[in-house]
Amino acid sequence: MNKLLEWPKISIALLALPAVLLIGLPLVAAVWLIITILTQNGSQDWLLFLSVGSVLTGLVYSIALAIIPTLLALYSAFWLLARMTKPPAWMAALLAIPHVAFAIGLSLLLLPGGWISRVWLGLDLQLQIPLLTPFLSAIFTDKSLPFLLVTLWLKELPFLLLMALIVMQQLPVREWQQVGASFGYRAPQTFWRIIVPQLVRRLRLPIMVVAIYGLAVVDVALVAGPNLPSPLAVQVLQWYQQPGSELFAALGSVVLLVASALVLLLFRGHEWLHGQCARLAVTRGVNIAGQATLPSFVQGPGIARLRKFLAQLPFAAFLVVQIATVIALLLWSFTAAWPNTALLPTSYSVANWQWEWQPLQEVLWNSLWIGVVVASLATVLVLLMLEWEYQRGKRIADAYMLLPLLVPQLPLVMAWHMHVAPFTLAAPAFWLVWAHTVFAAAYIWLTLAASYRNFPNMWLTQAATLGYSAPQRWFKVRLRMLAAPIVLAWSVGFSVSILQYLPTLIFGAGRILTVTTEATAYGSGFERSLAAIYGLAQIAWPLIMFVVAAILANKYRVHTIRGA
Amino acid sequence: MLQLNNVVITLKGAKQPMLEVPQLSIAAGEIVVLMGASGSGKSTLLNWLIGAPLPNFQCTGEVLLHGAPIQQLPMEQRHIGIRLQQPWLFPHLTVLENLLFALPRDFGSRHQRVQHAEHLLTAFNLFAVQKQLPDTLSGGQAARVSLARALINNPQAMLLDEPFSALDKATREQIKTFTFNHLMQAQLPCLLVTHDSGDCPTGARVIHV
Repeated sequence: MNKLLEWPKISIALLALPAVLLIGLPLVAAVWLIITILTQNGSQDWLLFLSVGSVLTGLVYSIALAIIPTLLALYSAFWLLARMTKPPAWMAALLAIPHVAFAIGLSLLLLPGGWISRVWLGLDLQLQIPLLTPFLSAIFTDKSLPFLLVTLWLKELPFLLLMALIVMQQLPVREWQQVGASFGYRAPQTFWRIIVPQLVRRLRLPIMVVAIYGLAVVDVALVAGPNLPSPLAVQVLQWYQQPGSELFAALGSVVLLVASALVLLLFRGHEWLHGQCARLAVTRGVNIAGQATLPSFVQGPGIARLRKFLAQLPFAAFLVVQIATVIALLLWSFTAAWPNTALLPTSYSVANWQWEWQPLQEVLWNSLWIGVVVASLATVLVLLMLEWEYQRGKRIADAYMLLPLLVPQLPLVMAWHMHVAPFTLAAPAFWLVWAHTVFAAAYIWLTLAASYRNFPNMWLTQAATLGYSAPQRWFKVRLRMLAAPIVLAWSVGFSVSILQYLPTLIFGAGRILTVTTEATAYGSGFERSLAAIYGLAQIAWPLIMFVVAAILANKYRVHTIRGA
Repeated sequence: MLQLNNVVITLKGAKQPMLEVPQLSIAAGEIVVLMGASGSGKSTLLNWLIGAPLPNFQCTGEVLLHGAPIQQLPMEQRHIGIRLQQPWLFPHLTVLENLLFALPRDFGSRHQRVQHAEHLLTAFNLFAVQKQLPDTLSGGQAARVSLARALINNPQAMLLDEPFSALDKATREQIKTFTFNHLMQAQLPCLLVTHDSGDCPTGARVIHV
């Protein structure tokens, strides 16, 4: 490394120390808890715990939530990508819809009384034949495991789709498609045989993050999932909040940790199996003889356009569902009366908003200041860690920074809270901000690390030869030129803070309420209009910050450096 | 035989055509060189011939392969091999697997397919590296694997887009001779585009554009 580009080593190491501790301490707490539980609890405690009827069912539910939606989202993302030409740029905004808001919106679409079920009911009544209503009401009974699975599948789909698109930008997809076509493969065949195996390997981390989120999901499970029994993570939280059941909560969290290791292993196995199957498919060669040649009357340009249009329909349907959830939230928030058989509300009112405006203001304000503080703190800490890594010339393991995302959130937060509980009452905001920052920093690292690491040294060398000191170079060259990705990473950190449920609930201890705690509370109840209002409130800040960040990023993308 | 009749390539919105080929016939075993500066539309022509989408260009004309028009066929049904500047070997597949990917499925049993690929690898002096991944190969080896992969697919014509430009000088001469010898042996009509007169095989027909 060019010594000219270095900061004084001691100062940068000292600055990075808080960042190391920030992430490290909660992890140490979790490990300490596991050791304590495993050494202090005998087989009697475990037998008692496992004899609770809901534990095994809850565990099966949790593992199903880790595996099924992840695989469905992954393969439907591939299926869409195999047919898609170019997705719209605004698709990234779909990520700004938080999980709980999406779950509320989807329940207002699919569950009995929801928009889609009303459409089908209307059709069935018109035709006087029960077509889909019995099917829909059988699958999507009010809050059930199938509905929760579908919710997680549809919510994780845009995330994996965007991650896959980012990976595809780093691959020579066009050239591979050309080579495949020159051997007689159709574009989707080359996509599945050549591109997908690469995607499965390179998407390892996002896939695992999604799977672990499903395993330990609590907020979405409260809004969309079954109650009797609930997934294990929900049961563990209930035990933790119930005086006298702390032992069960601790044992349950160890089971969740073991299950997360199992799930991670299963997904490594899936990656290996997929690789083997892809190899088998590849070495079988191209089936030129078996390819159907279209008759001449369906080969004209008009037919080609129609086929292209039809190929885009699944992606359009996916976008419609995502947007319809937001529209359903909007409609319900202004609904005064909506009879069961009507397609649209019969009367609208702002009364729901007026009624709820006072408490809503408080949670919106809480969410905003926590989000801004957390995103700013996490961004600074991540930048310090990245600069420290650069100065050392040795990479910080991504796994260390991303560990909070690869460990189920509930055991991590619970273990940490157990150790610091006596102090949290005095300053809940401090602990809450710290807890949010751990998770926000992980996502910011995920967003920012590649840009920071790939920053060409040449720019810094140029500035050094022009007389800029190390701090000047950092602020005027590196920070300025990386402003766009930093702003975007900040908005990601802000969104992550907004959607934190467990850290807010546990460290806030009911004294600090945010849009997410309220949206989850109302979403798990029966008051649709209130749930819709808080669902929209949960979307509002991330969407505003996403738009502002996109505008700023666009502005800062101009690489202009002023003189010394 | 590969025939091009009245081919005109125009950049969308431009008044003047970028490239015009009124009539060109390439017989089996013949190599025709299309030589011109960068931006003269040579590579665009090759992309059009293989049927790649060219949203920024308007391409008209007729392409006949062994007398049959192919310009309406999708890419995968044209049976035209292409060798680009880079070898574009699939990085996660071994050398042998890269060849098996291109070998038509109706060739025979798995054993016969592997045997055929190994036979070709031996002929190309690549047998020893058949289990290796592409990133472990030298530039010359990768170029030979790429050619072997194109030929094992049994194409009806071959297009070469500056195939030697990514190689160093010493390897370049060696691979050039190797490539042209194998293409002559395969008796394919070949169209080579380049801006470098050093890439032309001896005695080849050269068309300047």
